[in-house]
Amino acid sequence: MTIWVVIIIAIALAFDFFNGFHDAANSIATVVSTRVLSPQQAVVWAAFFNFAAFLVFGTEVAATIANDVVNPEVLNNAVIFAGLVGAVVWDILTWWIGLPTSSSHALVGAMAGAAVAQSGWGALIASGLQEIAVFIVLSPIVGLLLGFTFMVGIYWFFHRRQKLEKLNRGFRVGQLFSAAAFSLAHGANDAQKTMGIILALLIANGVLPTDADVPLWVVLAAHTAIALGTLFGGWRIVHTMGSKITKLQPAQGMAAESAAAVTIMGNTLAGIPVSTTQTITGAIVGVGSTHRLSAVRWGVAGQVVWAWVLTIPGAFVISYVAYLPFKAVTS
Amino acid sequence: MRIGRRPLFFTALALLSLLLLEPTPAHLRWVNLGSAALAMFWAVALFLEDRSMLRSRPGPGPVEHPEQRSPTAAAEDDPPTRA
Repeated sequence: MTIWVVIIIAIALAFDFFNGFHDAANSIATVVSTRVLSPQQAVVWAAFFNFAAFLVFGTEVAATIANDVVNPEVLNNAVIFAGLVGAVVWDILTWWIGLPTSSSHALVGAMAGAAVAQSGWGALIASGLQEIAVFIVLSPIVGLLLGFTFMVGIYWFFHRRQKLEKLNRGFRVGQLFSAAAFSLAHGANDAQKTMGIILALLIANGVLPTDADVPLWVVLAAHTAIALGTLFGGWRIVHTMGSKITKLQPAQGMAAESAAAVTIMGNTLAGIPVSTTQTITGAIVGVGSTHRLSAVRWGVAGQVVWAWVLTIPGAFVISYVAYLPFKAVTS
Repeated sequence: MRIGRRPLFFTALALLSLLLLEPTPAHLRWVNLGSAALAMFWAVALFLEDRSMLRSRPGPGPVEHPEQRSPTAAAEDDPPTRA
């Protein structure tokens, strides 16, 4: 392993750390906004389950990132480096302005940008990108529908017998489990994206054969990085996710987190890299819609949608530009 | 008859899921179909709920027993809490 490879692995793990930092809000926003846990308790809870996810899920998403976004033959140290730079810069920019964008789509857009800068549009794998693009739209819809369904189910089974204020005490405990499930799903899907990048890097440098699985040390390093990132969580985004989209009670928080967890776990098992941000946003909107559509603050939800739309092109452009110096040197 | 916003919203979600059917890989199309079916189910249920509420609105009528109320109507009674 060359020093270059070691440096790029460090940057990939830094991206993973920042992914946890950036997306911590998704895991803990509802549990904090309903005052089930204090912010400090919530980040420790979420970080633990981010790390524990490696015990539960495989590495299908990592394989998708390594093989199905960019033609593995064009991947080299410079492309992966520029891709990571694009994703990290985009994440920092959106974190700074408090927009809950997707680190996952930033990574996909950035890897695509660097690969196109090197080898043109032919470097992209259309079928893989198409699958990811479809689920950019579909996963929040599924989260929304499940959030609505779970919430109506809760009302159906419990609220007809008791006032929700009393039930909310029970749901405060339930929300601990739903937050844990969501953190588990978040850790599984998001850490695997970094594993995919490191796997591609190791294959490109001949450290691993082309059909290799993700080594255990890569799995552990990626989960450790995302858990540490969550531990240091991003509080600017917590505010947007936790209170601005719609106001939540513990029962609603539990429904939203459970819906998002089920959606992300399903995607993870299918090997699809999805945005935890988009999915929990959809679920929160779904839960808010059980009151009435006007309970959802569509202005904020629309702002989030704009952030989704801009993420892939934004990260693409940054990594394209980041690759240009390498191109100048090699040509 | 006037259709409420929520049935329209869920109908739009169902249509969007179906529109995405073509670009979705064949082995994952069950997700689109399941989403569309669930969205249409809620669109119809909310439409029927709106219609039954409109019918019961004129005149004082008997007071509804809590157990006879629909879940989403019950949801509207819950005051939002502080975020």
